[in-house]
Amino acid sequence: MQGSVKNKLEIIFRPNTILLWILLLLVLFFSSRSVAFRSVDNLMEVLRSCGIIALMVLGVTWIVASGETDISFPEIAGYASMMTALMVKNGLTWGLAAGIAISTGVLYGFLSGTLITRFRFPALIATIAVGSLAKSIANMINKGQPLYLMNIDPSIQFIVYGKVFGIPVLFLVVVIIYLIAAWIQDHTTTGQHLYALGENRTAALEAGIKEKRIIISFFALSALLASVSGVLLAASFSSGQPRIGGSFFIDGLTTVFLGAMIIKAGKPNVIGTLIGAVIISVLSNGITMMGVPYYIGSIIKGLLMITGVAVIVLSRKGIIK
Amino acid sequence: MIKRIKENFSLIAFAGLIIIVLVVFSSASEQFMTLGNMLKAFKHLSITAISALGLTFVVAIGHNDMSFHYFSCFAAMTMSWLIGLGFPPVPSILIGLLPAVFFGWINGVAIGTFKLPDMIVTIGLGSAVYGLAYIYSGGSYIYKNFLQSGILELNNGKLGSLPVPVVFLILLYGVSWIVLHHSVHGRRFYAIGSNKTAALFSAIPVRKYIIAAFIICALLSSFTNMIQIAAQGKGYLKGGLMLLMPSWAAVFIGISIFKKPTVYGTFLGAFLISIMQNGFTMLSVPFYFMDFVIGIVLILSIIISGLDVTRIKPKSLLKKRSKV
Repeated sequence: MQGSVKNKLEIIFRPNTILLWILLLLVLFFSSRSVAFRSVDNLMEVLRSCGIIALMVLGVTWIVASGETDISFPEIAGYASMMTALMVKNGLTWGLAAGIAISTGVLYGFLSGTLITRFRFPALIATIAVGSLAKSIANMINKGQPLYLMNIDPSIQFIVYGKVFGIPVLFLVVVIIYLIAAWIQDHTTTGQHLYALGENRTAALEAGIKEKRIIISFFALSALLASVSGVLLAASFSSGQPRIGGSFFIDGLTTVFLGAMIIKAGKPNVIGTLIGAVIISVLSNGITMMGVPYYIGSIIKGLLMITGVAVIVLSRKGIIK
Repeated sequence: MIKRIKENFSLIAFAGLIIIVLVVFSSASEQFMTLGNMLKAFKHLSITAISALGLTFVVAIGHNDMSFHYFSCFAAMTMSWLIGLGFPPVPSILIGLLPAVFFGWINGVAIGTFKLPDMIVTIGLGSAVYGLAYIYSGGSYIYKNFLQSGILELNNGKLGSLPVPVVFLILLYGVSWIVLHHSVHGRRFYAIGSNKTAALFSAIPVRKYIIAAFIICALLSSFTNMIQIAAQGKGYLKGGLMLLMPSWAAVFIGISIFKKPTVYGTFLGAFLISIMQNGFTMLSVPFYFMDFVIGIVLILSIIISGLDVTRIKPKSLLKKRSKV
C-alpha cells in the first residue's frame, strides 16, 4: 500500500510535470492575493496576451529543438508592426498592409536560414545580424518614432479583442495552430527529422535528412509567425512600435526554454511552449495586479528558467531522483 | 606569392574594407581625419573593444554568453549607487565589479561544472540580474554626487596625453594578448574550445578555465559599462544593453579574419565597427542606421571569410554551433 502511494506520487511529481504544478501554484497564489486577478475578465485577458507571445515563438521552438538558435524574432515582429502601420497610413487596406508586412518579414527568415545553411554561420551570429537589420529598418520607417493609427479594421479588431463564448478569439486561433503544429511534430517525418537534427547533426545528415531545406523552412516559419504577431501587435496598440522587440526577447526565449521542461523533458516542444506562454502571461499579469514592481517578474522568470533547466539536466544524470 | 595572397585573403579583404571606410569618411567629412577626432574615436573604440575582449575568452572556450550586458548593467548601477552614497570613485568601481565576478562565477559553475546549456543559463541568469539591477533606483537615473566625486575622470581623465579609457584599452589588450597567445593558459583556452574531452584527458582543469572565461567576460563588460556611465555623467540602467550587438559583431569579424577567436582579431573587429560609428556620427546620420551597417558588415565579413578562397577549411571553425 505504502509503495503504491509512493509510486503514484512519483508519477505525479516527475520532473517533466513540475512546471504544471508551478503554474497551478502561481494561479492559486495570485488568486488568493488579488481580487482583480481572479476575475473572469482578467483571466481571459491573461489568455489573450499569452496568445501573441505563443504565436511569436512557435517557430523558435522548432528551431531550438533542431539545435539552432533564433534571437531575431522580436525584431522581426517590431518590423512587421511598423510596416503594417506605414502601409495603413498610406491608405492601403488592413488586409493588404498585413500581407505586405508578413511577406516581407518572411524574407528575414530566408536570409538567416540561407546564411546558416549555405554560408555556415553560427545561428546565433546570423540571427544577431539579421535581427539588427530588421531593427534598424523598423526604426528607419518613422525616424525611430512610433507610428500611430486612427482606425483599426473591424475584422482584425475581432481577432485581437473579440470573444467567442467568452474566450478570446486570439487564444482559440493560437490553440488551433498549436494543435496542428503538435500533430506535425509528433506524427510526421518532418517532426522526426527535427528532433533527429537536434540530437545528432552528423548522423542525421548521413541518414539523408535534407538539413538545409528543413532549417531554412523553420527560419522562414519563425519569421512568418513573428510577422503575424507583429501585425496583431500593431492592431492591439493602434500603432507601429519600432522598439517593441526588446520586451519580447527575454519573455519569448523564456517561454521556449520553460516549455522544453514539460512533456519531452529537456527538448523544446510545441505544447510545452504553449504552457510556457501561459506561465509567462500569468506571471506578468499577476505581478501587475498585485502592484509589485514589474522587474520582480523578470527576476522570477530568470530564476525559474535556471532552476527548471537544472532540475531537468540533473535528473537525467540521476543526481536528483 | 599567389599562395600567400590566397592564405591571407580575408586579412587583405579586411584591410581593403578599412581603407575604403577611411577614404569614404574622410572625403565626406573634413573633421574625420583630424587628430582630435582620432583620439575621440579611440576613446569610443575602447568601449566596444574592452567588452568584446571579454567575450573573446568565452568564445575561445566554445561557449556563448548572452548575459554579460545584463551583468554590466547591474555592476554599473552598483557603482552609481555607491557614488551616490558618497564613496570615492576607486572603491566604488572595485566594489561594483564584485557582483560581476560573482555572476560570472555562477555562469561558469552552472555551465562548466553542472553542464547546463549555456544559452539557457546565460539568458535566464541575465534576465534575473537585470531585474535585480532595478532595485537601486527603480529604473530612474542616479545623479547624486556624480559631478563632485571625480568618477567622471574615468572617462575624461588623461595619463600624459592619452585618455584614461585608451590607457585601459592598451593595458587590457596587452595582458590578454600575452595570456591568450603567449602563455600556457591561452593554449588551454583554445584546447578546451576545440575538444573538451580531449582537454580533460590532457589534465587541463576544464571547469576552472570555463569559470575563468565567464568571470573575465562579466568583469570586462562591467568595467566597460562603468566607463560609459562615467562618460554620460549619470547612472542609468539601460546603458549596458547596447554592448551586446557590437561585442558579438567585433568578435565574429575577428573570427572571420583569422579563422579563430583572437585578441588581435577582436581588436580589428572593434576598430572597424567603432570607426564606422564615429564616421556616421560625424556625418550626423541617425543612430538607427548604425545597426543596419554593422549587420551588413558582419554578414559580408563572414561570407568573405567563408568563401572557398583559402582552402584552410574555415567552415570547420565557423560550423561550431550553439548547443541548446
